[in-house]
Amino acid sequence: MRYAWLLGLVGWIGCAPSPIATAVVGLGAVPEGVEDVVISVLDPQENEVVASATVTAPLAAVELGVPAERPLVFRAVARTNRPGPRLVGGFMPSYVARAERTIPLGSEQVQVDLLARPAGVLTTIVRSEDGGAELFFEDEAEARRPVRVFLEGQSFAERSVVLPAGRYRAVADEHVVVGGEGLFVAREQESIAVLDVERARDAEDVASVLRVRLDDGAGAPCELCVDVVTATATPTAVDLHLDVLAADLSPLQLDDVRLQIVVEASPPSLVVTSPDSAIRALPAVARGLTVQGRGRLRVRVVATTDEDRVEGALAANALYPDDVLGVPVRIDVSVDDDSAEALARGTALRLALLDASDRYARSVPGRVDLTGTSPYIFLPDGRTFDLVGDEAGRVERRLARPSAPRGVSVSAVMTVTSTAIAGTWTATVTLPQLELPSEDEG
Amino acid sequence: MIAVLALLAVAAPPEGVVRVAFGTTLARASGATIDGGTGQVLAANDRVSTGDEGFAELQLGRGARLRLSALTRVLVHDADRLDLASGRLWVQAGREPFDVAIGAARVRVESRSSVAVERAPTGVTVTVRAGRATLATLDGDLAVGVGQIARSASRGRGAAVRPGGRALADLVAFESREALGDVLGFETFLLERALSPRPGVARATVDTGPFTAYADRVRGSREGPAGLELEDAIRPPPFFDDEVPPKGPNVRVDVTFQEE
Repeated sequence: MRYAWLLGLVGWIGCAPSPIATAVVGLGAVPEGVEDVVISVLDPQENEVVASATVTAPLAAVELGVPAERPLVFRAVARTNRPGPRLVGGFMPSYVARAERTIPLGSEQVQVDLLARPAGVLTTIVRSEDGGAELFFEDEAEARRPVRVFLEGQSFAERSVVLPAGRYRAVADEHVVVGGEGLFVAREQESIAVLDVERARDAEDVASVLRVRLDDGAGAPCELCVDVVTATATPTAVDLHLDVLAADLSPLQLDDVRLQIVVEASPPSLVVTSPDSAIRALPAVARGLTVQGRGRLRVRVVATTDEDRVEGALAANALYPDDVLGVPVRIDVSVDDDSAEALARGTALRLALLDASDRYARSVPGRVDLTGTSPYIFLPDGRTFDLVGDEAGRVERRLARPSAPRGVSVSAVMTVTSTAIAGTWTATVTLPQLELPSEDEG
Repeated sequence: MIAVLALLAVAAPPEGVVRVAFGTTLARASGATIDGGTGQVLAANDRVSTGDEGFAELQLGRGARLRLSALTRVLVHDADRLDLASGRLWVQAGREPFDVAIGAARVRVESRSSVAVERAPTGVTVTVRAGRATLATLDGDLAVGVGQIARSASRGRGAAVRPGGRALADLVAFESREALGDVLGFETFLLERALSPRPGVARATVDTGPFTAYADRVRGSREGPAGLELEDAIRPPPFFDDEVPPKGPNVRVDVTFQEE
């Protein structure tokens, strides 16, 4: 700890008509590693800093002149001597505290207690349809007062915010912040994110679910865990029934759709012909998919319009009538779409439990543990769950990676234990690095 | 000379202590005078006078505290009473009532009450900031409550009570704020001087013997468990500070760091 105290007062007392109050800011026991503490007072209405000072040991207090009779945000940022983002002064913050108060004039002294919590930096690029947005970062773990960030006219400009380490949700009035769910800020690190601010629409107008069902002609279309029974000699035609549901699960009609259908099979020879994706409206039936032989296949469908993007998937076995599925002997873990946009918006983490014939295995009880996954990976359904016995070898969990450390890859680590197997299986999926786009890329 | 003063100081039983004094003269009953007087033990018949920019705060043995404005003269009778010869006083009584004699008149400050008293050539003015007081004159007793002001003509006659008194109450608070910029610092000073007496001059100005005796006396006048610390003994009752919020900064921001 340095004992040469340096007091740098960069105070500013505005020429606004507000009366001036005096504020004394005192520091408690400063933790090891903190080089200095930057005290700043912001006027949230004007979105400007009205007073600031940097306190270095052994000084423990500083006096500031601040406007009275108007809301103020008092903020303290403790910094280390390690390099940090340029936009927060070039040194890495380690603690941050924040409180809002209005200081009345008069003889009563107002006491403001700031609890400085371990902190990191979130650097964002916000792409807004309106050219600006007023964003709030809400702490998802606790009901804390959200941090407000006004980003008018700063689309594509990098903006760094010091936040307590934790997980956040970015929200904006009357807008949807794509990529703003589950933002993670690591302690004493810079985390980066790209946020797309779009106008909010009514829930019944937003396509949320693309349901994919198979129909091999043997029965009604089935959505989950269909084991397609194939003919032995000739290819079996399998229709894909596609329909879209709104956020409130009501059926939705989508026009001017661009459809992408990807069929993955093991072995690849299982698929004889691919489905027709030249469909311009949903709901629809995509025909043309034929399979022959044994194996497993996975169909992933992405439907895009000018306003919506929705995707769905289905995994199935292709079996002969007398085939019997075995117990799992290995696992396969994948992410539906690891593009930066999909990882920000949210995609799916898929776990396949495969039998000795490389087909989806029969259901077994067990437990799946994702606690070894990087905290940057947002798993809204939780990090541990049980195999309840009707998975038929196929498990899907929602996954997003809205933020990431700059220049570092993050991984999802899945461990599966089951009484039906010996030991445990572990699989890792590493996601590509997140990079902030430049303005030219916009 | 200093040694003589010290001996004189311990000669009489202590009645209180001068908590703070600026521009003040303490005249001992023996005839010795001391400029300043901060930390001095007060004995019966000691006189305290403040100059034209002076200020003093006394604490007497039963918990009463008195703040003397500029150009004020008082005579300490004992721990329960003093004479106001001239000037302005702010009295806060502790657990026991406290009497201020003003010529033929007398102001009784009831326990846990805070009262401003002014003696001028034209008469006596009493106003109550908290609690209650009684102005006793030759014409009878007048009860004075919060938000009231009592005045008597000279020679203790013709007293009347009416609403008001805010100006006098504010004035003594203003004077105290001006004089006591760092009450806590003064307390620390007193405590250090009392607990760690230095030899020589310091010992002559603050003799631990009478101070301890004073503390014992205060301690004996208080209820509660025995063995109160000396610091507790000299600490003033709390409501004085609540009554007059510090002028100081408008806002105090305390930053604490979350533990690992």
